[in-house]
Amino acid sequence: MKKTKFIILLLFLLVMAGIILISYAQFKKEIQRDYRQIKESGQSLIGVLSLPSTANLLTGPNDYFFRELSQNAIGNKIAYCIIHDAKTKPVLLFSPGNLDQQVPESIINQSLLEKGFVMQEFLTPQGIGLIEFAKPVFKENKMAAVVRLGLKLPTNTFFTYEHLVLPSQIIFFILLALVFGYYWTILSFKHLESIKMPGSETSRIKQGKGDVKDIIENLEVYLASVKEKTSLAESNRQKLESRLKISQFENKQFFNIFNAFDFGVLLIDSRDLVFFANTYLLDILGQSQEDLINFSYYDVIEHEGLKAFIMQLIAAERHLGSKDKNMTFEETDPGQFYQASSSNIADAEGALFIRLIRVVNVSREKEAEKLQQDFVNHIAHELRTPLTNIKAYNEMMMDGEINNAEMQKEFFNTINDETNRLAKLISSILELAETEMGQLTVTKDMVKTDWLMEGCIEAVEAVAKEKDITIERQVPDNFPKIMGDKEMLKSALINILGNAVKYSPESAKITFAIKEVDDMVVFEINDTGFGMDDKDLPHIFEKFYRSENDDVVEQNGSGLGLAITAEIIKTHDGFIEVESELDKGSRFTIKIPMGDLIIG
Amino acid sequence: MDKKKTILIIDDDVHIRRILEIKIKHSGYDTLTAKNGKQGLEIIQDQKPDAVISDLNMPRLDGEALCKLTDPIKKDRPFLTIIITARINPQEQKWIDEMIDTMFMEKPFSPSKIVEALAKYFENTNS
Repeated sequence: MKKTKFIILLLFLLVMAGIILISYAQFKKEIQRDYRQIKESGQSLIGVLSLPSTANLLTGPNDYFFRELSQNAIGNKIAYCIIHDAKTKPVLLFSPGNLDQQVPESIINQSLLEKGFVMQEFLTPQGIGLIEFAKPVFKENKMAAVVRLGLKLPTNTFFTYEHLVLPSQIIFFILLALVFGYYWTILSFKHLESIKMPGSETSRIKQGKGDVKDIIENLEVYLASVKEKTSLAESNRQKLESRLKISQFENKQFFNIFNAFDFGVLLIDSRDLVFFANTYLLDILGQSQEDLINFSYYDVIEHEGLKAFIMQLIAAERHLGSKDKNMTFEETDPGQFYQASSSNIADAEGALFIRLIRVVNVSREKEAEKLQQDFVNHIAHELRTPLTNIKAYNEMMMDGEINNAEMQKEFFNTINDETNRLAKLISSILELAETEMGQLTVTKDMVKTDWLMEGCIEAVEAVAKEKDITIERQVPDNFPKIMGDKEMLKSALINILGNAVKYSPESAKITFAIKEVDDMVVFEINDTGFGMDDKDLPHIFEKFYRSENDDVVEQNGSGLGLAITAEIIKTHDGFIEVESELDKGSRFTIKIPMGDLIIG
Repeated sequence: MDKKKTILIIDDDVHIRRILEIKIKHSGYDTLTAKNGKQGLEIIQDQKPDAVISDLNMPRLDGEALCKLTDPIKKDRPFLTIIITARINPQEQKWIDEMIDTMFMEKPFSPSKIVEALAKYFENTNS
């Protein structure tokens, strides 16, 4: 280490000495140049001054001469200019700093006595270097005057700003070179470190005596190591490339999955740029991937509703939670209802990574909602009609408007009938609700069909008797048994048998048959009543559906009976078929599987 | 003395027709009845009643369709229509507001209120 420091110190000293020498040489060169310039200027100036016309100055006007001279005095470093007459007496004098006073006698004498050009260098007693040029002026071949011109010699000193510029520049550039050199070396070494031979390999290099064989062997080992490193780098490159391909493939797979969704997906990154839109969404937006990807959603999403939803979503990230938004795409998917919802996907640190927006077709849900709403409206209407009657008839009675005893009886009967109608309607609605809940409320048991038949006939007998309607039983030798909910089945059959009685004219005939066919019990109810129109048949099992046939409208009914029956039969895995002809009658056939009978 | 006003009652429910008929007759008007909108429209065209009381949900022709068909008639011969409905909803309210001289009454209604509405209408149109 000490040796290195010494070398560095030595180098530093050498560099400094070099700088000083260069600077000094430069300085000397400048002095010589200035010296030469002064000599040349002096010679040319004295040449001009000693022209014959100068003699005229001694007698004529000389202001111009002195003005010109004084203007040049600084530039040419003129110390003084004296013009002597023929008798060596100074006649004209120009000396801004009075330096002429300091010229030694010997110099003056020499200048005045010589018949030609004289150039003398000297130092004034005050130490100022001067150079005197002297030349006689001839007029008409006679010496008319002598011109003496004193110029200042260059007084350059080494330590001036001007002279220090050069060494400073040299030092600056050396320092710059050192800094660059240092970092370049560090970087080079770092790079080399990555392919530095491992310890084991170093040991493989023979510590030979430095002969050519050893050197070649060492080089071979080193070369093998370099090759190994190169192949490792190549394999790393291949691994990275394959990882990139896998990642691209995975991305593509993700996009394929998104494209398979039956709802719209839009991905927007944290910079509000569209990252992906699946084909479903593109279809309903009527835009292409190229229109959207890597653009700000605000600039490219044309659908105002969706754009507004995203804006709210982004605003809500800072304030309140966002709500789902309903929208339609009338241009691309008219008549359909959509709902947009969103979720934010964050990275491991919890920072927002991507926003996922789903646009789902909710037309079916809307339809179900509407059906539900219609159902509620129907119930309200159906319940309010008997309620209106009860209220209205009651109000009239209470107001004392009905005094006639017969009318009073009629009113009481109507109130009673309407109360019963209301009660029946409420039980029908409850029954329907229970049946629609399906298996949950069904208690299956072994049901004897003879009991079912008698129960049903008993329920409608009174009304049938009023209308003089006969119900004929058609029964097998052995009544079959079925597994089911006896009350439900009874209710289902009463609805059909009741309708047969209700919609048959007086003195009509109804047949109620029970058969056993292929592990199924078949109930058949035939009437010779009003029958049904072809346009009514497809709707008779719908809730609240009522025919507009006058014979049907005449009769009270909720429009729920057959809907309840169909639901009960469905719960028992059975079937119901209807054949009907207007003014001829109807035939209802119900088939219920017997099921695995448990004989208790 | 003015001629007795005639009121047409349209409802598929026999009891409602009956009670309104009694109440309105007791109040000094003549009455006409119809079981559905279709029948009602024919009576409006033929017998030109001074007011119509109609149910909303009816077979054949419902109350809304009936109103829309009778609205042009009202331009020449205005008469009051009272629509009886189970529950008014915003859509119903909207079309009823668009009709000439049409109002609604929710079920269960009071027969007295109907008669009051009739009296008020005739009072305003006569003055």
